[in-house]
Order: sequence, then structure tokens, then C-alpha cells
Amino acid sequence: MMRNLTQRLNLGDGRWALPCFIGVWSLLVIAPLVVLIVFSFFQTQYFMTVYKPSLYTWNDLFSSGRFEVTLRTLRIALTVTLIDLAIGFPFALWLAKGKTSRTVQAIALALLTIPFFIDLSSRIIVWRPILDEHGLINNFLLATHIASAPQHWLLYTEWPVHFVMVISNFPMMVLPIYMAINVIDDTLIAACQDLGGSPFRVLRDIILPLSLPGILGGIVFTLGSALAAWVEPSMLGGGFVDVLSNSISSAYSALRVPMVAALSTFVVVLLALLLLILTLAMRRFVRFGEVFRSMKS
Amino acid sequence: MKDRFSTHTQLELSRRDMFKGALGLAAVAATGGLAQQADAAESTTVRAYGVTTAQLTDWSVMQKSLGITMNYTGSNNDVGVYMQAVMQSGLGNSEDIFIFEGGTQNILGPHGAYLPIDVNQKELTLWSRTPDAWKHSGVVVGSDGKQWGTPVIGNADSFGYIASKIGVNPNGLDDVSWGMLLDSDKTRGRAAFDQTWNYSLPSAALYLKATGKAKIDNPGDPTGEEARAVVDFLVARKKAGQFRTLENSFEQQIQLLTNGEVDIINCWEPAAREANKKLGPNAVCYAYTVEGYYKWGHGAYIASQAASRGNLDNIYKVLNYFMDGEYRAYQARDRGYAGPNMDLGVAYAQAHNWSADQIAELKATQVKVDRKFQKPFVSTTTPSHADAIEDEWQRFLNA
Amino acid sequence: MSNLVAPSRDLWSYARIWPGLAKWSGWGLLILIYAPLAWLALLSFSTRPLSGIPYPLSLTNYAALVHTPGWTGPFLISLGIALLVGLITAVIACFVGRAIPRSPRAGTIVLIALLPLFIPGVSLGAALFIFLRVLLGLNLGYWSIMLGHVIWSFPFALIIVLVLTTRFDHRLLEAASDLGAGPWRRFWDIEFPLLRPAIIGAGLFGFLLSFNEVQRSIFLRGTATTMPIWNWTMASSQQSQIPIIFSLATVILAVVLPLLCLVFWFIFVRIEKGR
Repeated sequence: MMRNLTQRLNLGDGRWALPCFIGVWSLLVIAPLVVLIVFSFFQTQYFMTVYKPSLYTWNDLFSSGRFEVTLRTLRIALTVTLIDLAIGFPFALWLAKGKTSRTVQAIALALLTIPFFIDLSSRIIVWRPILDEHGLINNFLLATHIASAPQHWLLYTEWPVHFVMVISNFPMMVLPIYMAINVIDDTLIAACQDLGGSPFRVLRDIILPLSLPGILGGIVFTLGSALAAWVEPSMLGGGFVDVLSNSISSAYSALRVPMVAALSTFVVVLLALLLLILTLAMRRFVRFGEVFRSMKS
Repeated sequence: MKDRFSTHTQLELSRRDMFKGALGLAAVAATGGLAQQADAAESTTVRAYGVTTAQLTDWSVMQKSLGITMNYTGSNNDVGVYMQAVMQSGLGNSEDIFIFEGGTQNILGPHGAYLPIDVNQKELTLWSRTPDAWKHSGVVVGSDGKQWGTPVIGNADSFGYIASKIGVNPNGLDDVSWGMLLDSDKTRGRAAFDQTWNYSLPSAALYLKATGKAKIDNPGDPTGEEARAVVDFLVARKKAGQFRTLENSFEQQIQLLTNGEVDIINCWEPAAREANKKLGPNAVCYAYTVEGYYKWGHGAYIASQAASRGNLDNIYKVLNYFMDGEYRAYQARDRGYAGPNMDLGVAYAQAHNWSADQIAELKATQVKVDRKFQKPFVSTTTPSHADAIEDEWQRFLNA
Repeated sequence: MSNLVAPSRDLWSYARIWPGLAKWSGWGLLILIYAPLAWLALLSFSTRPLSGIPYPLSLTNYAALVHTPGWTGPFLISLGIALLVGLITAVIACFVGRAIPRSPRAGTIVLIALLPLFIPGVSLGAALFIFLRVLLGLNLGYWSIMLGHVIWSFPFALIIVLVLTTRFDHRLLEAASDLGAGPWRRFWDIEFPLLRPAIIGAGLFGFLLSFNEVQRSIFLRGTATTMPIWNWTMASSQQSQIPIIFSLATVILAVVLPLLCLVFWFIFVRIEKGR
């Protein structure tokens, strides 16, 4: 009976999933975001939103120079993503196809996942006594006479923010790439090698194209988390690295929802522009829309 | 459209709640909202929502004394989140008491979220003996002159310093200028300032006003122009390398002091106490200042919906408890914070055989607060030009 | 690497240094992840955990953890919410992730689904609050926290599933259909086992992202308190919570590390051998 029902409704086929998803998603995600964008055309006075449409908030965003926050955040997030990609892709490749034993793979994956179980602030807070004036690193530098005075740039600058963000977002990059490379058929690689393909050709002609969804996934995960970062910048940047999330929290503490809305809208627009430029530039090699479609094997 | 979002309709909103469609009702039932309301009316439980600073470490102390169970939902000290929650979350439908730093009553009171205090209520027995400085301060009286709340705790905040490093009297009793924190070559690169606009900007404004470096009327409530002058000064100091860091948490305040990263910091008083546990007594002094203090207080406000729930007597008993000796003694012991009727706290400690040291400390807290409260200024969480101040503060952070 | 045909180009890419470099830079970063965690575990036994000096050692923090009231309730609630969020995201991501590769508008749908990933947490929280509470007048509570978490973790889960479904060979299903298998059987017997690592991964991401989520929860909580919300509120209690937070993190580490190794070993080693 169950089978009859599912057949009649075509449940197993799964084509119903997309319209359902788009309907629910529009209601629960798109609609609230549209409402938020509308708010960016209001303004706040004395903790109250004034519901009179104006460009006041947008004007304020640019005239006060606050938009710089979004540019700084993007710059840091992109740098972190690129560094993680440069280290993460080779590592994922080695993990999946480097004749690594299954047990080592299992351990590495577990190690990549565990940090998420632990509250980010407690993971970051321990970096401070390592990097501060009387910390581990400075003690080492002074004891070995590498430096003659404590290095103050080690903490409360942009440097530690980058450094620790690369570390905490590393798993975000490796996990999806590993999954993508792991399912590539070994016989394909062997065939390419038998035909005299160098490791570089195997990488370029087989692994890169076939793992593209994973690579894009890794980039999106890392970029997304890095853009949302608020713990590292405020705990290690010492208030000198003002990023999007912190600026938004600050605006909200004066109940400036319009400013929150304008900042978020602006960063999404910037990202969309970035994506557009990338898509146009890469048009000859990859078409974004095709990456997530079924591959014709 | 306009009315729908404004707080004028806070009560109307809750009235509308009753006529909500099936969807709303289902959600209310699902979250147990109705069950909670029924509970509150009959039991001896008082439900409070507010900042965790006002919490007793263990509310069972109060339960033993009053026979009232406290159900406390904590919030952070972020005023935006708190106001949004009280204004628009309909928290008054389930909560009896709101506790927050002074200032919110200026907005939430007139807009109907808080119930005016009846100072003649029979359970508010300590009201007449409570000093005016506490019961008529800007923490509990609104800008409209109405009594919106009762006092809970308070303090005069300044900064902590390591006396030997900045060359002042190590007994910590001398008045030190805010300039030592903001504007001194002795502390350049060795000072930490708070990262948030509502805590840091008013103190800097106080310093500029007192030294005549800028014309500022009320440091607690500066105008946009005044805030710009303060931020101009702070940007210059930041560029001169005055600040080692802009700190943003209680833990970081302790860490900066105990690890010797800074010599002076505008921290909360408990952070100095915590640091001294490691560095030794009086290693960090919490400053008496030349210019004045960031004087703050927590008020307890009654949710307007509680008027019809039938447990007002219990609610007033709890408000009274916040002004009584037991609560006073525990708050002073655990955080070093004062409040109204400190003498009752001392009496409570003596009656309950607290150690001589602890009693002496309670007395010292009284003396300290009396001395500090002589000077300006009373802070508010809701400055009139919050949006302009916040904008200016972002300029400081981005500079 | 045996090559019968003499390589004529890209000689540099044969160098042994590349796999070694890939391996050790990755492990290097893993060490950088775990060194502070080990340090944190050590400091959890210190009497002054914030000082960064591990001695004198004691168990006082663990005693504080046991005796502090208040954190166990939020902790269990967080665990429950995270488990449900993991389950819900895994199921939805599985069905949507299967359908997307067959859609002609795959790219657009993926972009729309990814949107919450690029909206700052406070903004999404505020937007959902305005929408659910102010516009619809709903009472917020555990359900809205969960909704916020599902929206936040869904893009992650979807990508994980898509990584496998885009590589899925649909001829397998056609073959099964030819052999008379119904759509449900085709899914359960053929598709699901192949997609299992992705679905488990999606659930895991849902669980992990929910477990520590605070920015959206603050807006959607009503009066509910989860573990991250509890930490957030206690940050203004002006009593150091670090002893509790450090020792709890250490306990979680000690429990989860072996458990997760086992889970992954089971997924990758046992199943692989069983085939």
C-alpha cells in the first residue's frame, strides 16, 4: 500500500522537492530579507525606527565612512580563503588519493570536525597568553636572542586576526574538497597515468574538473564563515580591526535596524558584483550554473 | 504600517495576540505560552528577565527568606537586544519583573511596557527609609518625572591601575585624573579602553569637560556635535599610540591586568578584585578620580501586563528584597557593588556571623560609594543622540 | 608511480616534494588547531586559568563545574536542538540536493539557497525577528531558535550533499527501474547507500553549526536559554565563567574525540571492507 501511495505521488522520484523548497525558502528566508532591505530606507532616532522612507541611512553609511568596514571585512575574508585554499586543496588531495590508509583518513576527518564542538571564544582566548607581551612566543624570541625587545605586533593587530582565522576556517575548506576528490574513480587516474599523463596533467585534466563542486563548496564555506567572523577580530584585533559583524552588533545596540539592514545589503551587493566579475572572467573555463548539474559521465 | 512597529502599540499587540489566527494560537500552545501565564497567576513564583549582573549566585537564599521562588531569565548588557525583547517580544506576557541598567524607563515607561511603581504599596516597606539619592535617581525615575522603577544595585565606575607603574600613591586613595588613562605619556601604549560606545565615550567626555578641552554640557548624554569633539580627541590619542588595546570582555580585563599587558584600564570593579586575587592585595587599585565617575545603577521595573495577574504583592516583596540587607550583603560580597540601604547589609552580615573581614569590607564599600557619589555624572543606557554617538564611535574604531 | 612511457613534459610535477608539502602543511595547520586546545585542556587544571600559567594544578575548576547550578539545563537543550537541527537539515538537504542536479536552473537555485551564508548573523536574526514576531505576531521560543539554525546550516548541508549528487550516475537508477524496482526502492536500495557519507556529513554540519550558534539565537529565543545564550548572558554577570567554560570544553573534547574517530572509522573503514 505504501508503495502504491508513493508511486502515485511520485515521492521517490524527488521532483516535488524543489518547488516545495523554493516555496518554503521564499517565505522563511527571502521574505524576511526583503523586509530587512526595506528597513534600510528608514532611519532610527532615539531607539525608535522612523517609518518615513528616505535615503538618510544610505547617505550616512557613505558619508560617515562606515562602508569601509565592509571593504576591510571582504579583504580579510578573501585573504583567509585564498590561504586556506592553497593549503587545504593539496591536503585534501593527499588525504583522499595519496595512498593514505583508511584509518589515517578517519582520524584526520575526526580531527577536522572536533574543533566545532568547542565554543570559539574559548578556543581563541588561549591564543592571547601565547601571543601577548609576556607570552610564550615573546619569551622564546627573547630567550633565543632572535629579538631584543618584546614584539608588540604579535597581538592586537590585523596579523593575529588573519593567522587565527586561517586556522579556525581550515576545516571548512578541507572537508568538502575531500568529499569531492574521494569519489573520483581511481581507474580514471590510473588510465590517465598509463597514457603518460604527468601528475600535473592528472591534476589539471581529471581531479580539478571532477572536484569542482567541492572546491567551490570549500571556497563558499570559508568565505562565508570568514565574512561572518566576529570573535577573532574583536578578541585578537584589540578593537583596531573593525569588521562587519562587530559594526552591525554595535549598530544594533542603539537599535539602528536601518543601519544593520544597509550594511548587510551593501555586503551582499558587493559579493554579487564579485561573483559576476568572476563568472565573466572564468566564462571560458567554467559555467557556474553547470557546476551543480549532473555530470555527463 | 507605522503603528504596527512602534512601541505605542505594545499593549495593543498583546491584545491582538488574543485574536490571533489559528497559526498564532498553535504557536502559543506549542511554546507553552498559555500554560506559563496560568502558572504565574497562582504560584509563588516570580519571573524576572534581565541582566545577569543583578543575579544572586544562588536564588535559594531569597526563597528561604521570602518563600518566593525566583525564575530568572538572563540577558546580556546589550541595551538594543534588551529593549527589542521587552518592546516587541511580548515578554511582559510571561515575565513579572525587568531588571536593567538605568535609562530604558525613559523610553519603555511612557510607551507602556513598564507599570508605574506604587510607592505606598504595602509590601514596599523599606521605601521610606531608602535615601533619595537611590530612590529618586535617573535610574528609576523617568525623564517624565514618574517613578518607573526601584533601585537594585549600583556603582561608580572608573578605571583600575597598577600604582607603582604609573607613579601614584600605592594606597589607592588619592584622586587620579582620567587624563592618566587617556592623555598621558606615562601610560602611552600601556592603557586599555573599552570597545563599546556607551561605556567609553561618556568617560572621555567627562575628562574633556572637566579640563575644559571641549565644551560639553552633560557627559552622560552628549549631543552629536559633542560626541564628534570627543571622538576627534580619541582618534588623535589612538593615532599617538595611547591604547594598547580596546578591550571587550570581563575575562579580557582580568587577563590584561594579571598578565602585565597594561598598567591602566577602564574596567569594571570586580575585574580589579579578581586580578588582585592573583597579583596580591591592592596590586590593582580601582581609582578615585579627580573629574568624576560613570555612575550607573540597575533598576527593577514591573511589566505592565503583571497588573492583572494577581501576584503584585509577591512582585513588590521581591522589589523590597532588592533594597534589603540580605541582597545588599551578598551583592557587595560577590561583586563589590553597593546599593540602597548599605547599613542593612552590614546589619545582616553581623546577625549572620559573617567574618570580621567581610563585615569590614561591606563598611568600606559604603564609605567608598559615599565618597564617589559626590562627583558627576549619572550615565544612561539611552542617550538622546544614541545614533549620532554610535556613528561617531565607529569613526573612532575605523580610524 | 611506474611509468612505462617516458615523460616528456611537466617533469617538475614528478618531484617528490609535492605530496610531502601537501601532507605536512595540512598537518601543520591541524597542529596549530590542536596546540591551543591542548593548552586549554591543561589550563583547565590550573587554579588561575586566565593567566596562561598551568601551575599550580588542581581540580577546583572541575569542582566548580559540578557545583555551578544553571548550565546543565541549557547544555541539554542545546544538545537536543542541535540533534534535531542536524536531522532536519540532513533530510531536507538530501531531498533538495537530489533534485537540484536534474533541474535546468541549478545554478540559480544553489545561489538562492546559499544566501543565508552571506548574511551576517545579527542581520539574519534581526530580519527573522521582525518577520516572525513583529509582522506575524508569533511567540518565539525553542521552535524559532531551531528554525533560525536550520536556515543557517542548510546551505552547508546542501553543498555537502551536492558534492556527491552531482557525481551520481543516474544510469544506475534506470537500470534498477528496468529490473522493476519502484521509485522508493530505487532511492532506498541504490541512491541512499551511495549518498550516505554526504547525508551523514550534512547532519553533522547541522548539528555542529547549531550547537555553538549564538548570534541568531539571541533574537529568536523568546525566554529560552541554550548553552551559547547562557555563556552570552553570563558574560555580563561580572563573575568569571572561564573555569566552567574551560573545564566543560575539556570534558567535551575528551568525550567527543574518541567517539568521532570511531564514527568516521566506522563510516570509512568498516563499510569499505564490508563491500
